[in-house]
Amino acid sequence: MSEFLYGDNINQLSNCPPECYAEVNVLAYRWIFDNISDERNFVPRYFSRPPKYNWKNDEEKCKDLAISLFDSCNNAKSRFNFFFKTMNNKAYQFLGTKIAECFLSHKDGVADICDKDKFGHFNFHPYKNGNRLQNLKIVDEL
Amino acid sequence: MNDINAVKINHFDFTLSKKDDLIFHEGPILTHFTNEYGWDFFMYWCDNDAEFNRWLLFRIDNLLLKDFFLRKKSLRQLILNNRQGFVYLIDINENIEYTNKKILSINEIPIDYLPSINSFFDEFHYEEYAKILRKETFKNQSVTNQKEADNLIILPPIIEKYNNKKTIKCSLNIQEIYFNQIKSNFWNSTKNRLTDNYYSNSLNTLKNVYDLN
Repeated sequence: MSEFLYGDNINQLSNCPPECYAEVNVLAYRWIFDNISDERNFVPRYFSRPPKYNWKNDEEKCKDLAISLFDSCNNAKSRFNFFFKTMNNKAYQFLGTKIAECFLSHKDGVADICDKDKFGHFNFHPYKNGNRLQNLKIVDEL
Repeated sequence: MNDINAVKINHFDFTLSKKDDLIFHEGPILTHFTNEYGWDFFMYWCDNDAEFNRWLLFRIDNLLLKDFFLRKKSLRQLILNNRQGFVYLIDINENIEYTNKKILSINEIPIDYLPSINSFFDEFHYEEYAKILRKETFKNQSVTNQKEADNLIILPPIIEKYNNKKTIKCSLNIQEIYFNQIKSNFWNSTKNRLTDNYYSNSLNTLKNVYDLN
């Protein structure tokens, strides 16, 4: 079995990732910041400080160790537009400025395809030896 | 994160209880709270740095909420039209400790801390709890008309009036006295609707504590 990129953290949690996570072969979309090499484009929210809520349970911590992705460019844009209305220009400061596309193969990690929400958002736990989102390609502006 | 020039407070004279999140993305963005007096608050995330998340806490009431859910008022208007005329600005660290609590007049809120003018309720993008709150809001008929809703005003925006440190301290004491005077019976009375007599007494109290006679 492949080792997770954030295995040191994941191994401390129970049921992470949950059984319903599976390897996928999909195109995925992610909000990113202008400079494609910006560290924030590749790091899960677990490592951004401070967390916005008390990390009470392993399920929440597990989700925070995943990379946020969308199943389509339209869904990524629609969700961002809502946050732009809510957060105004802070959305550009904290969420991203562009949409990037990347292909995820079964060698790259596992995704919660079983629990994809109505916004088309899903979480992805990258493998240590996967491509780690290195093939991100900007496809649209936010 | 900018240092906001506002009136610092040491503690709230109430205890917040979280109801649930209305907007959520990698943590809450808008959350509903209540306190022991049955007051409702929204807490809106507006900024962060390496140590703190910064939030605006503001009172909401049934009438404002109805307008919000009917999309007559935006989230921005809920903040700017809140009946206290001010918001609490709170920095919360990762241990969920409320530090750096301030009172900020609505006119002093940095523009980039406010939601956009189009921040109207969006059922699809709000969390499921929003539907529950909307249902409760329209079920609650205790405030049925504008006149009664207007009577629910507790305090005018006193911070603007007293804009140096000495008088701010004084005005905060007045605020506390005023709260203590009326909060014990105000909310009980609203259960059976406010009477004109009660409203008149409240106004007199207000005039006294502000020395307006």
